[in-house]
Amino acid sequence: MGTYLLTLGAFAAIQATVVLGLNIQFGYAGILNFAYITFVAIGAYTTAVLTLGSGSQYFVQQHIVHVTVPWPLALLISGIVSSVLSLFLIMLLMKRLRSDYLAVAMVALGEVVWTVIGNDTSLFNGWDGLVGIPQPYNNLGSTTTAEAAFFGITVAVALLAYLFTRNIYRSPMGRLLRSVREDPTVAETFGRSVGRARLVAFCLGGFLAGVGGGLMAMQTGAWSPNAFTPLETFFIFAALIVGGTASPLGSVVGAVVLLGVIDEITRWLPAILAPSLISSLRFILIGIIVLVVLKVRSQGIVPEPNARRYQQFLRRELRDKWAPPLGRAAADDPAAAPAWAASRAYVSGAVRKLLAARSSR
Amino acid sequence: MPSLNEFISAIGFGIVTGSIIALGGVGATFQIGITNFVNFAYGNFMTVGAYFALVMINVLHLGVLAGLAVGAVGTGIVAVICDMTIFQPFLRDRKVSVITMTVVTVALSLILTGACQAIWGATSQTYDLGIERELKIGPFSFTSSQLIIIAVTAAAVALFETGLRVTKLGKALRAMSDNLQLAQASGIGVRALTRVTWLISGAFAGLAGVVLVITTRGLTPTFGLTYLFVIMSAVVIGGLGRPIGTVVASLFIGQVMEIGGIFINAAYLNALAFGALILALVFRPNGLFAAKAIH
Repeated sequence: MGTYLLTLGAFAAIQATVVLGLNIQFGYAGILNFAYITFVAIGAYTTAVLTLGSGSQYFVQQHIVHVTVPWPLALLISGIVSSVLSLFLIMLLMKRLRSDYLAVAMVALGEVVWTVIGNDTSLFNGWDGLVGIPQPYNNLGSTTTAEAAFFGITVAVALLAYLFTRNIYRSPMGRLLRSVREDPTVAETFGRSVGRARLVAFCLGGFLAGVGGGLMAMQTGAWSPNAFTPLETFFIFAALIVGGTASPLGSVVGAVVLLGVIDEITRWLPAILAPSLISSLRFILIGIIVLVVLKVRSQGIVPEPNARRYQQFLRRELRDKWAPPLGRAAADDPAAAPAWAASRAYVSGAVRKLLAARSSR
Repeated sequence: MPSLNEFISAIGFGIVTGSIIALGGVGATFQIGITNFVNFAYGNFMTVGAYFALVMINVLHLGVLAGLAVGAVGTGIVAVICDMTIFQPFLRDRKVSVITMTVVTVALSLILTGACQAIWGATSQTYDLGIERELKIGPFSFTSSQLIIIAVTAAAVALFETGLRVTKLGKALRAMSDNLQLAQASGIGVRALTRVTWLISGAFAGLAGVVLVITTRGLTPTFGLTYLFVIMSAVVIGGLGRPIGTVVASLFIGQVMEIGGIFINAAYLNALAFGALILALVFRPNGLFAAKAIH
């Protein structure tokens, strides 16, 4: 059980890293990158070929770089490779496309990469994929110790990713990204380069995707096109939206709740249900959760920090500036008390509406 | 170097493939022109239609034409239900953005994928069409079901275009696509017409799904999603909201895919269509025949 929880914890930490990367792209900058999982996959393949080792018993497998590096360096290179490929892509595509057409182009691109990697066996062994990717410290005595070591690594990476993402939110760059998200024209009017801002967001997100992908490959020990079907991107989006779009803490919460807990729950459904039925229930459940969250609480479980601050501000205004005079007036003039109570209800209703209002995106 | 015969048969297949893409593309481009958001669940509508036809053809043994009819009408109704229960509650919010609507359609796509998989299973299925006859028409030879595909496409697109030009309903729809506020102010029943739009768009999706399974012979819960992007290529290249442009682009992409298939691995055919899409998006982001409204 302990080992199982450690594995699950490591899984959740990796998912959190991945969701944080998407948060920079979609949450901060509002880019609908529906090929996100492709960049995770690029990171995973990079880590795989860099750590497989030509001297290992798996040398029969395709090993295109013929270099073996220690795992931290492999992760770093994975992040950089994903990031650089993001840069190329964005320079090609993001010129002047409306966000939903960009999304279409991105999914198409993801499909192309998926098809090419699957069918071209000389690249990464095609549909069979690569197996035997070593997990760091997997020779540390018992399984539990090895799992604990890997859990520590993934949590440390997730923590770094969280701090990184949070600091970007607070930085001038984060402010610029959010302004681009809210209204690119306004940002441009103030002399900012919208294209450059999106580019930065894309590369930073791509870096985290690559690192997260590398960790995924290490955890499962294998990587093939089946691990990154285009639908997977939508699960990452779901985690981000449920946790709280643009909220760094929300990404972590969303990853743990949606990708960790709900996945586990669906796995523990009665065994009489066919496996395909369980996977379809997972699709339906996640789709419904996303719709309900978007409709009922579009800011997610943990709202974006600035939205949170704005809510607190509105509540304070209501409590300190509006409620007391209205209450006093009602006390002074008992005859008109119902009217004052009505106006007070109107004001709090208006504030509640403001609180519930989605951001203008 | 491939022989002339190979080229001719590729062109014949290209017409069939182009017809399928055109069927799907017309429904998608029409809906985008009216509602102004991309529906990522469109591929799932195709899947739903194909499964409805599967019930008609394999379970009830009513033949291809019944399958096509039920696939079209059933999917149209499903699309209207999705619009009323899922899209409208979001659209009632004045401030709802394109990005939110895109995510909503993706969520719907997940739900429909799951529903299809729960009802019909994840294994690949196909229609029992019996033995096909080969017919020679000019230099091309088609099977009887391929002829049905071409005929259905030609009939559906012709009917749709005529309806859009001749009838009052078509005029109202064109007005809506041109300027929603102005149409509303002129007393056009925008809500009812949006439902009609989804009905038509869903019907085209259903037809496309059925004819796609007739040719590819493999129906899985996710097959529409892959094909959606081939269709979106045609929609974007043809200019969003322009049915005729989409038909031309579809026939072009059909030829590119089938003639390309002579030279490259068949697995890369979809990639070829996506390549065309990406090139089109980069160089002509508004489509080759750019325009905003349905004309």
